[in-house]
This record gives sequence, structure tokens and C-alpha cells, in this order.
Amino acid sequence: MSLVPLRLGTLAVAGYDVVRSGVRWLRDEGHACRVGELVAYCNLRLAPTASAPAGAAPFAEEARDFQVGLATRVGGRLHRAHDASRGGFIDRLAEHTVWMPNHVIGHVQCRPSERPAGVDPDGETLELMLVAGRRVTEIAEDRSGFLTGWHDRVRAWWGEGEAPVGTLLGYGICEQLGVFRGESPAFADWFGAVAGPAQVVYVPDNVLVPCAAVVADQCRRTADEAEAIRADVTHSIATGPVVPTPADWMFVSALISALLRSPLTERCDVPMRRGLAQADVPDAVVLSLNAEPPGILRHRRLGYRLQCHAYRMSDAGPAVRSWIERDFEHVARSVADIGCDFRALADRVRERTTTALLVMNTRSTSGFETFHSYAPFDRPLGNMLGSVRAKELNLMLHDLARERNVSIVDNDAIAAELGATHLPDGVHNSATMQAELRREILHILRGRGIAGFAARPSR
Amino acid sequence: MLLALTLPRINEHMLSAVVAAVHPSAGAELAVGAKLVDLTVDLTAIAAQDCPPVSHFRMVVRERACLRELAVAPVNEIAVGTRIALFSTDPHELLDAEPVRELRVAIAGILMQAPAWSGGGR
Repeated sequence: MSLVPLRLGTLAVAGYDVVRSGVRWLRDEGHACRVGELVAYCNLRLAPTASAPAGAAPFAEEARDFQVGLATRVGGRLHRAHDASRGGFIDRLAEHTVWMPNHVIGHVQCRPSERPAGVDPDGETLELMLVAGRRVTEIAEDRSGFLTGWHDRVRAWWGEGEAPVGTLLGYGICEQLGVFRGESPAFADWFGAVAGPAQVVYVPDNVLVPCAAVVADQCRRTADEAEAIRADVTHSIATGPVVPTPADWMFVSALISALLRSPLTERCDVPMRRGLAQADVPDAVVLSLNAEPPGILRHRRLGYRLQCHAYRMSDAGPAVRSWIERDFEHVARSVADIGCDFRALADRVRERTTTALLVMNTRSTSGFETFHSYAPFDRPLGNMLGSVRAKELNLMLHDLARERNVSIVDNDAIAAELGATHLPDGVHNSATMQAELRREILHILRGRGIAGFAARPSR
Repeated sequence: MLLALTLPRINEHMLSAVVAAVHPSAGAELAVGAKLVDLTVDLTAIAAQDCPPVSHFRMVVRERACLRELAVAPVNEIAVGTRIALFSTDPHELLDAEPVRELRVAIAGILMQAPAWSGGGR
């Protein structure tokens, strides 16, 4: 048997010291590790040196929630260095320990014949998966775990070499949460399947529902229009008939902050082992057809569109609900209207980028229905019956695929194959289904030639 | 023949439903396909912190019947198994016997057109 040291290896950003916290273990002493398994993580910080470039520091929006997952390149029994972790704040704050390439956090015990080819036991025996979360507000602090906290965007990136970093953005409703973040640790499923260099980004729908109309508005909104929205919201709530509560202010701040961002056009700093790179706008984005409601809110004066889940709005304060009732009208949307929104979004995206659009379709059947005839229901049926509307939406998506080169992530077919127990309410999917959706997305990305998402060599 | 309509367990997790609308009045003679009630099933109590599934359903009759008694009204929350209405095949039949079976109905998921807090539709 031999002991292979788990060595950090290089991680350098010109002009900055990379500082880390103590190690926080994801696996117990003696754990039987697989090749490529995430076994530990640290918090990171980029501390400027005298030679730091002028201007904004990288990670200005994510500095407090910047971490690295550490994956062993060698399978075997884990032996943790006794001084790698000291617990408490030492392991949460990246304050005291500069990243040293030769530092060893532990060992993996294995037979020499079991070491994967190409792994140099004297070199970098840990693979890095870097992650960052952008807090909704800097005071929403939760450093209790790996990528914990209240974030309006989380992302992970990895890979080596000089190739550009391919970026996939998940920008749908909660059905994408498990697909993109996966089971614990966050993004580990993508990391295990994709060679890189790649980045996976997830924007949650905690407050804003990313239907096509809202996303298209985000892409085309100017700075002046954004400022007008901010000023109008502040004035309307502060001077409205209902005195805002703290809950009102927190809700509307999160909502407007999300509305005025544009995840489809954001570029991200991506420190790699070789140095700091910048990933371009997403190479592919996955949207959700389940984000498209039968009606949407439109601001009466400024015309911008807004959508929240009804249960979130019910939890908002009284001033927010009053603001919505005063300043917005509810606009009914047919399937044709939604199709127009998607076409406008696709055209807008293509004006500026080569981002591939993928859309998860919706489950077209319902296990709760028992009717045998459509005769009792009002026409048009798509406005009345959820299952008919779902079928019409899915058909619209096929038209869109043909006209605008949109790829369909066939949620409906996958659910049919796996069975209703994996998608009981049409939205909240099982881990098995989430894994199948990830495979389907990767299949589409590879078919479209999106760089960075090739499969890892078998380990 | 007397027929009962009780709230079925539409979703395996549901314990109750809120009556959103009642379409016929007592005494109405209903043809096949006539609307009965609209229901809202809210599973928030099962997953309070997560995205709670709220579904809307419509029950319609699948056989001719006369509505004799309504036991529910809009906004009532009724438990699974609660009597919704009593029907008879003969509009003049006495109501002093037990129903012989459940009324045959069809159930479909329907769309809620506008949220209660909106400023109105277009």
C-alpha cells in the first residue's frame, strides 16, 4: 500500500495573494474515496498586493462567498492531516493562511496499481472546483457550509488548460434547482461529469419568476430605464397608503434587485490554476416553460413586466401587495403571446451573442384527472384546462425549435419514461429525474458543440 | 335513486379543499357535462418552506341528475370525504333514504385566471 499526499497545487492570480481558511472536511477519516470525489473545501479571498492592478478587484460582488472544493485524483482510503482543520472561525474566514501549492491536507491510501494513469503523486493530486455566490444583500451571511447563504446567483467552475471557459446558465424555476445545484455538495454532479474548463451558473427564482417576457426585458433594459424603475418603486411604496413594514422593504429590494439584473448578459471572473480569466456571457442558457403563467403583471406607467410566484406574493408585506394592486395591471397571456415573447427573446439574444437557448418543456398530462370528454369545459380549452395548455405550450416550443434553433430539454418525455412518482406535481422532480435531465442537457450541449462540456475520461 | 357527492381524494397528499365556486343551484336538473364545483387544493401545510403546489380542479357530472341539496358554499374549506351535495334521479323523490352510491363525476385540472391580489384583468 502507498500513501498519496493530497497536495493543493497552484492557484495564482497576478497581483493578489490567494488566502484560504482552514480545511473543512466533507468526508470522514477512513472514508473510501472514489477518483474525483470532493473530500474537503476552504473559503478563499484574494488579498491585493502592491502590484495589484488598478480598478475594481475581481469578485467584488462575491468576495465573501468564494470557496474551493478539493477533489482527490486518486481513489482509496482517506487519511486527514490532523492540523488541516482547526474548526470555528479559523475554518470559516480566509484570513490567516496563504495558499501554498505544496501544502498537503492529508493522504489517500491505495495500492500503487490503483493510481490512475497520469497522476503524479509528487504534483497536484487535488483537483479544484471553485465556487462563488453573490449575496442578495451583503448582510445575509451564512458561512455554515459549502455555498450556503441567500444568493441571487451561484456558480462553479473548474478545468485546466488554455481553452476558453464554457458557461452554462440555469435560469428557470425551482424545477432546475436540483438539476443545477444537485445533491450535496453543490454542483458536484456537473463537476464529476464534465471535463472543463467549464462553468455552471444557477440563478434561483426565489423572488422573480424568469418568464420569457421578463428575461427579454432584462436583456434590453437601459441604465436610464433601470434608474427610473428604482426611483418609481421607492417613491410609490414610501408614499403609498400602506406604511411599509421591514418585510415589505426586504421583499421589494430583493425583487427589484433581481429584476434589474440580466443574468443572460453577465460576464464572470473565473480564477483558474493558471490565473485569472473572464468567462464571456453564457454559451447556453436553460429556461423553463413552467415559468410561463397564464397572466403577467405589467406596470401601468413604465410598462415593464414582472412575475412572482403567488405564494411568494402572499408572504410579502401589505405595502408590497398594495403597490402591486395600484401600479400594475394583470395581463392575460395566451400560448401565442408566450410564443411571441420567446421569439422576441431569441431574436434579442442573437443580436448580441451566440448563446444557445434551451427550454425545459412541461409535463403535458395530469395523473389527477378523470374526465372522458372535453365537452363540459369552456372554449378555448387551453385557457381552461391545465393539461391542454401544457400540450399547447409544448407544441409551441416545437415551432420555436424549428424557427429559432431553440433546443428542447424534454422534461415531459423523461417524466413519462421514469413514471409519475418522479414528477408527481409536474414541477418538483426526484433526484433520479434531475440526474436524467442533467444528462439530457449535456447531450444537447455536446451536440451543439458548446466548448468545455466534453465528458471526463472514464476514471 | 339518491346519489351523494363527497369530496374525493384528488391528490394523494390532500386533506381538504377550498370551494372556489358552486355552479348550479339546489333544484337544478343537470345534464351530462354540467359544471358542479370548482375546488382549490393547497398543499402548503405539507411543505411550508418550499414552493407549495396549489392546484385548481373542476368537477362536472357524468350522468343526469337533479341537485336536491347543497352542503357547501364558496370559500368553505371541506375535508376529504365531506358531503358536497345530494342528488336524485327523480326530481320528486323523497330524501328520507340513504344514497345508494356516489354520483359519477369527472375531474379536471383548471387554470386560475388572475391572482386575488391583482388589480384586475384585461
